[in-house]
Amino acid sequence: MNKSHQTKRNPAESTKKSQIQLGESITVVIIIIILFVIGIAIYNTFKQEDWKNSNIQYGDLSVIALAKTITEFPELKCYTMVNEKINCFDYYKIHALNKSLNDPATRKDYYDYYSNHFKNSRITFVSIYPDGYEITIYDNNISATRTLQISIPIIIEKNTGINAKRNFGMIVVEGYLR
Amino acid sequence: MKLMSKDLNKKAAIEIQFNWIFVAIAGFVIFLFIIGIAVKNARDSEQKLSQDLISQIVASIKGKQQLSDAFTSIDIPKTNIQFSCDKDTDLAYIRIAQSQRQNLPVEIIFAPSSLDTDKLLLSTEDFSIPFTVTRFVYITSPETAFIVYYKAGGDLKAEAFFNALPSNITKVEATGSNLANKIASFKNFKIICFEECPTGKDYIQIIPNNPDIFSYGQINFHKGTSNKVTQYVTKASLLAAIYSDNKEYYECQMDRAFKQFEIKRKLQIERIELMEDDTDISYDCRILLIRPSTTLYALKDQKLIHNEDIYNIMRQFHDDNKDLELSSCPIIY
Repeated sequence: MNKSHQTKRNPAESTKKSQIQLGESITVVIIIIILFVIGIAIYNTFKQEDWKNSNIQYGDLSVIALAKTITEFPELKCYTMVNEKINCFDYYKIHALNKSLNDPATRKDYYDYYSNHFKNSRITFVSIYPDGYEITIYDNNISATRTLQISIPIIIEKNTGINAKRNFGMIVVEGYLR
Repeated sequence: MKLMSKDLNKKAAIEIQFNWIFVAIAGFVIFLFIIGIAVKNARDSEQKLSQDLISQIVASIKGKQQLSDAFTSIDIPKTNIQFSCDKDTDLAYIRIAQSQRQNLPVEIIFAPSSLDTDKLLLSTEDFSIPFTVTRFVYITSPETAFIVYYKAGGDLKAEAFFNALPSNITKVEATGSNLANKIASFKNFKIICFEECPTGKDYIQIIPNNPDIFSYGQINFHKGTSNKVTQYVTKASLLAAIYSDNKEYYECQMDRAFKQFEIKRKLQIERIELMEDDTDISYDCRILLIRPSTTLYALKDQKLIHNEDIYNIMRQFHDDNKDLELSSCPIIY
């Protein structure tokens, strides 16, 4: 029955049918590829968003880590002959580091070293009371986008010998997003 | 006509077969594409995991570095950690298993070149000559034993050294008679000796040039038949040599430390100059500040090889600082 039906079929019709089948297959493959491309594009958009978020998170964490580190810098802290003073920063040390990091004659050497510590940040010492002044010792202004800002209350001590003048102030650590 | 119909039939059959071949090839390509994405993702996440672990370890190390004279430990998944130092570029690196190595631009870490462990034992010591330059971080694992070899009839130097070793590491005292038994208990060990050292074993010999073993002296890395001698100055530097696997790593890290010293030395000079120009400080004090300033100039470009000079200048600087304190002047460090 089947055999007789096959022999009776028009050959031109059969060719047309296979051509249609081939066309259908190609269409299906193209549609699948298009769907894949759209899928990858959507996945990449999400990934990029994820990457942006983790970059911001990383920037924030770096600022926190830097704020923690800077309070322990021996080149900025106050010392007695036997130990270090807690939360105290030496006035002359701050000015010496500021001068070295910003003087064109010495800047390169110091900058090469301290940029490994401070990275994309701005570090400002602010004296609030009784004297009011600000010293920005480091500013790596890579872009205008700023991330977290941390302020740590400190004491800035100007030890001139018998008398030591102490100011209340803070260190302001700000991070820049690259 | 009949012939033409037969030909067309054949053509149709070929086209149907081609159709199947085309679908099979396209399916296979799509399959390969999906497998490729899956493999890449798996590799990426493995690498990300290693990088995350490295970042966590580095963050922990940096956190512990804030504390001076501290002993602590970090529990990690069992892995292989490698430390390296490039003498030509002055850069140090940390690497976990096959991950990308991470640069440690300012941290000075003394550790074996390779550690297979699930626990890192950390201790810190200020490298001060005489003002604090940086904080050395020492890393080892519980599997590595530090065997301090005592000469027969008591050894005061070995005893002093044993007591100075951090309390959180595996440390063992040994003499010529019980060394073999002590060694048998450990897979990894380092023998540290002073005047007398065991024969036929690798060891690190400390040769102090001063009754105080932590002042300055020489260190001999004895391996097989070779002896590689280097210098140390201060306790931080002595411990650094003991934690290092070899002379090259130790010297590379010490070179980095001395480069940091040069920056801090210039900063100290800058600070003294600011104080000398400040009329809020008494004239007598400003005169007294000249001496430490001169001493600091004498410390210019010092290297480990000048350990005796460094030690003497350090003492001079310490005396200068004491004079300032006794005269009620601001101290230098």
